[in-house]
Amino acid sequence: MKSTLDAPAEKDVSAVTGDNRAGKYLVFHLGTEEFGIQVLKVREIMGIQGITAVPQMPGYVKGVINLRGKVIPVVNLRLKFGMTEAEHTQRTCIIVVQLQGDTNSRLMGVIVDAVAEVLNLTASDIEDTPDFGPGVTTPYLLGMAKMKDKVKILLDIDEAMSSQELHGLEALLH
Amino acid sequence: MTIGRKLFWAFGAALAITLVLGFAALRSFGSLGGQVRRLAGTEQRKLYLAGAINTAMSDIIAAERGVLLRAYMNDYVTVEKYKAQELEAADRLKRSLVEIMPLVESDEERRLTNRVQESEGAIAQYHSELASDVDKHDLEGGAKVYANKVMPNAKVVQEAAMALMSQVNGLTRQVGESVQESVARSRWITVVMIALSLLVALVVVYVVRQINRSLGSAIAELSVGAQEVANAASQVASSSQTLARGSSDQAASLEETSAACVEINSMASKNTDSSRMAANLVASSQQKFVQTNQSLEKTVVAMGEINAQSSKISKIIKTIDEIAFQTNILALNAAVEAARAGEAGMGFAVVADEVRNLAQRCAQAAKDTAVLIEESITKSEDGKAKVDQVATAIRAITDEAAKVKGLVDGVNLGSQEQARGLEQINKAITQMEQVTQQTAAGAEESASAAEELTAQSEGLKDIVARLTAMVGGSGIGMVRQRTSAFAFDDAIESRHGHEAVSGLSALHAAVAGKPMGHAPSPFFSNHYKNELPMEEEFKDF
Repeated sequence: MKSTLDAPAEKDVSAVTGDNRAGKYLVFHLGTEEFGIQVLKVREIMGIQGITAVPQMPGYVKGVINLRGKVIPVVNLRLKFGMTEAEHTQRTCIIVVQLQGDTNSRLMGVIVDAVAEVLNLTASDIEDTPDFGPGVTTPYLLGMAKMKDKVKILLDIDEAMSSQELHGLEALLH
Repeated sequence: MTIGRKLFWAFGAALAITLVLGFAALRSFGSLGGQVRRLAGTEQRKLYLAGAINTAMSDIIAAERGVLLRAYMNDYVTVEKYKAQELEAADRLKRSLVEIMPLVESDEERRLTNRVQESEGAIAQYHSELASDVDKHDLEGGAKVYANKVMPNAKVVQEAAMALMSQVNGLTRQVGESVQESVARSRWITVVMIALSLLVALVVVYVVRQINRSLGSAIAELSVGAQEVANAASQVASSSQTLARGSSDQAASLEETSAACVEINSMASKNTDSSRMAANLVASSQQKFVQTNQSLEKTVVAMGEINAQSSKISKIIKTIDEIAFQTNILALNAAVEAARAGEAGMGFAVVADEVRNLAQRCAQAAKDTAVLIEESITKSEDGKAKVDQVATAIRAITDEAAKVKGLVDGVNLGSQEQARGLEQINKAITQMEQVTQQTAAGAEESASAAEELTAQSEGLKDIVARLTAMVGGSGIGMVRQRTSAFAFDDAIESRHGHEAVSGLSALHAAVAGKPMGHAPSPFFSNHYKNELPMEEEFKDF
């Protein structure tokens, strides 16, 4: 199943535009901000459901869920990004993303406040990430999307989720 | 000791002294008179008669001697004359003897007189002898007769006469001595009595002075008392006037009070009616409040039902919202799938977008409805609270209406009580009017009493003046001065009296309910007329 998912995504991105950042993005809310993830990285959107907590995990790892027979870890993006944890509402969703690792791809649930829409962004809509000064690196940002005087932050979800803890969890799971 | 007794004693003593003195004087006068009468009548006559006898005897002797001598001288003419003289003298002697006989008192005198009588008889005999001898010219014999018989007898007679004279003389001296003695006694008694009289007079003077002094002080006190009585009368007059004025004012204010009472009575009856009507209104409003309360409770129940249904609706809307959310997620998933499908999923992507739009619209509508329902729930809650408030207020109003009813009932009762109290006040005012009338009558009486008192004090002053005049002129001037001062007071008092009378007449008019005029009532004019002559009368005093 991994292979079937991987191939079209890579094809799709390259097929849409020369700029690999242009394309369809799934927009979601986190706090007051709007973030975007490349649609091809998204495997599924689902409402919040029962999460099985796993011991000895970092705070932002909420646990695991059973996605149609496959156990996947769930991360609270708020906590991951250093924001305060919010209570789950009706709008709270789990976006199941497909992360491209060094060797294989893996699925991961990301808890966000709400899912807004699927936007088709052109290259002109996307701006590069500004330089925040020396010593500040932002590898997890793809860029900034300018939409109606608002800025949506485009995330490189692979980079955002690539940390030791996740690797550790991954190692635990596999 | 009373003045009368003192005076009686003093005058009794004086009278006794006078009586004693009179009796003594009368007695001594009687004895003196008797003795003087004896002296002047009997003794002096006896003395004279004895002298006459003596003289007659001497004449007889001289005549005898003349007879003898003339006989010797043979002058018988003269003899005859001497004889006649001797007869005449003898006759005189006899007469004197006859006269003296009843006068003699003592035995000695009687003896002497008897001897004179005997000797006189003998002498008459001897004279006859001598005459016959002379006629016979027996001169010798005649001389013998003369010498032996006539002379001794004559001597006897003369001696007896002399003895008688000396006897009478002694008696007279005795009488004189006794008279002197009685005069001396009378003088002594008189002196004693005069001394006693002086003593009594001193006592009388003392008593009279004392009486005068006490009378004077009494008069002074009386005068002061009269002055005080006059002052008191003036004060009584003025206070009567004040009383009369006060009674008049009181009568006027009572009139006003009575009128006010009548007004208050009508007001109170109006009040009673109004309070009764208010009570009825309150009762009907209470019923209405009860009805309102019931409808309010129904409203509250209805509101509660609305609320319950709203919550149901809100649940349904939540369900719709959930469905819309799920649909939205499904649409998003479809869009993701369509994006994965690439070119082939383009149409599907459009459909997914439409579905997503519908879901969003549905969610929006559900959200709006939810908001509306929330609002309606809030509003119905609000309304329920307000209705509850209204119900509470209505309940409070009902309670207050009950209280108001009680109060109105109380007002009603109070009005009735007030009416009763006003009745009593009316009675009291009537009594007060009576009392005021009595007071007016009393003021009238005291005014007339003050007049009377003034008159009495005038009379008293007159009495004081008379007493002063009686006691002595010392206080008269003062009294005159006082009476002039009293006259001034009288003027003031009479003026006061007139004012009081006019005030009383006004009062009378006020009490009788007549309009107050300046014309005094007949009673007072009569009173006034009666008063004036009396004053004139007093001034005459």
